[in-house]
Amino acid sequence: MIERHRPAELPPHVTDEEKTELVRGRRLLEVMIDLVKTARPVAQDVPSGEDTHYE
Amino acid sequence: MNDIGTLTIPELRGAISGGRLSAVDATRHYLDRIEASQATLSAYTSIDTDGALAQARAIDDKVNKGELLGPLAGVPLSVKDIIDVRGIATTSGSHSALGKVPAQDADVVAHLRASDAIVVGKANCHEFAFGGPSFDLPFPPARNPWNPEYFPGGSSSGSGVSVAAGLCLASIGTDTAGSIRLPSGHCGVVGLKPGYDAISKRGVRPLSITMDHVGPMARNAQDCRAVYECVAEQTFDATGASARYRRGDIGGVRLGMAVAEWGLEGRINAEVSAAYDGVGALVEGGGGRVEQVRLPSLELVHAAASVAMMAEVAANHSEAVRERYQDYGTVFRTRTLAGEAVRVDDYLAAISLRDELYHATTKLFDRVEFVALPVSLNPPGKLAAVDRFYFMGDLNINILANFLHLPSVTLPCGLSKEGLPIGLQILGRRGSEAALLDIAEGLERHIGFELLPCASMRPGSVSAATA
Repeated sequence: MIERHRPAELPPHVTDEEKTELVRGRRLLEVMIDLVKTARPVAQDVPSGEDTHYE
Repeated sequence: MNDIGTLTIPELRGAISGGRLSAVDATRHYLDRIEASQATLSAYTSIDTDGALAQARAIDDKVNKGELLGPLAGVPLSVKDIIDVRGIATTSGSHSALGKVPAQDADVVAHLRASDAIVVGKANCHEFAFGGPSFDLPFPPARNPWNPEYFPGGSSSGSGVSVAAGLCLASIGTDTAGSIRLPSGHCGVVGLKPGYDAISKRGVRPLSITMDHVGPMARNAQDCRAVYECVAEQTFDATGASARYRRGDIGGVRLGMAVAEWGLEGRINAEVSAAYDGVGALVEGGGGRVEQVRLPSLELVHAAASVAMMAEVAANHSEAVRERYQDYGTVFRTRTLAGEAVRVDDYLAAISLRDELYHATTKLFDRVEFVALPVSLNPPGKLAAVDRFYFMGDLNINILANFLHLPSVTLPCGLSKEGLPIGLQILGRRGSEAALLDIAEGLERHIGFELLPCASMRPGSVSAATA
């Protein structure tokens, strides 16, 4: 499995409050990404030797 | 004429073309109302007083010369401020875009002008239709005319407010994840998010390229239809995707109700649930047939659509946000940079679900003609309490239609105990916009929702905001 990528460093002006909110937003997104990947794994995330199941 | 504000679009056009009302008087009526309400409601980012009056005089000249008038002759409209209107800055509600004055109209605005409509100003909106409500933008957030302490919905907030408060007769909004339907529902007006290609997006600032839609908002279904017929690119109902109904009649309609089978019963506010169920009862009472239907998993639809949208927003805006960070509002930049967490294979996984979810959804249209859904799980809340990631933290019912490019019309179906509107949306198959407006007109008559508390407010009668 590919490790989750890390977006570029945040701009220098980002406040602590914004960092907290940004992290919260990304966590919400990552939960949704997990759900999507469970429903529809793409080829590169599937260990070799196994078929991709689309249903 | 003393009752200008109560006229519908056909009535106003008829009065102007018949010489009973001048377009200048009608325009002045709306400009006066805008001026009086702006400090409280902030529905507009710019008001084109001189341009609107010049357009009105041109229409009166046509009347005097006996020339043919367009179908929206003299009708005052607002246009969301991410849509180009030549000669007026498209600010997108952002410090980053102030002063950018387009030389050309967006296609949708060109259609309005060709129909002799009068653009009175640019409607307030969330920053680039995404970052809001926010208090650090060039303009204060628009406020709900039913109670200015409350959220009017977004991102086409000023469009919903301007229509509901009687500051124009219709507005053009955009909808990427519910941005026409939420403000329509929260402000108690009718909004149509048509199919993906139904209205041109040329001259409209892109947010999420596979999810963006343009559509009309108006006081009622009849007015919404009048505007849609003038701005739609395709021949109205050319696909024949749905049976047409006698306007105002819901007899014989087969309506799917999706809330119970979607697992929403424990999550939906009791007042929203009661208003929604009440519509089902009205349809049955009006000679229609109601059936419980099961849409694809809302959690999965919400996740796939949100992942796709957030990736597209980040691809579109994050570079500029990083370069000119301080020129954007805190809500917009936080949401945009959050979208950078989506990897390209995440995005591909999300959009590869689109066809599967589309077919699972449209299979229902073999059994029912339309599917009824709430606009939101809860009635409008306080403006100051809106969560920055409300569209991701709460399940977003509206995003289904954006992701699957299905048309949906929103109309008011009740009031909360705080006196705020509750919205209903009717989803149809692709190409069914005309039938959706037929059914909306029929439901509207049965529901009997009164817009008047807002629309008939006299200038100056808007209560002061206290939030």
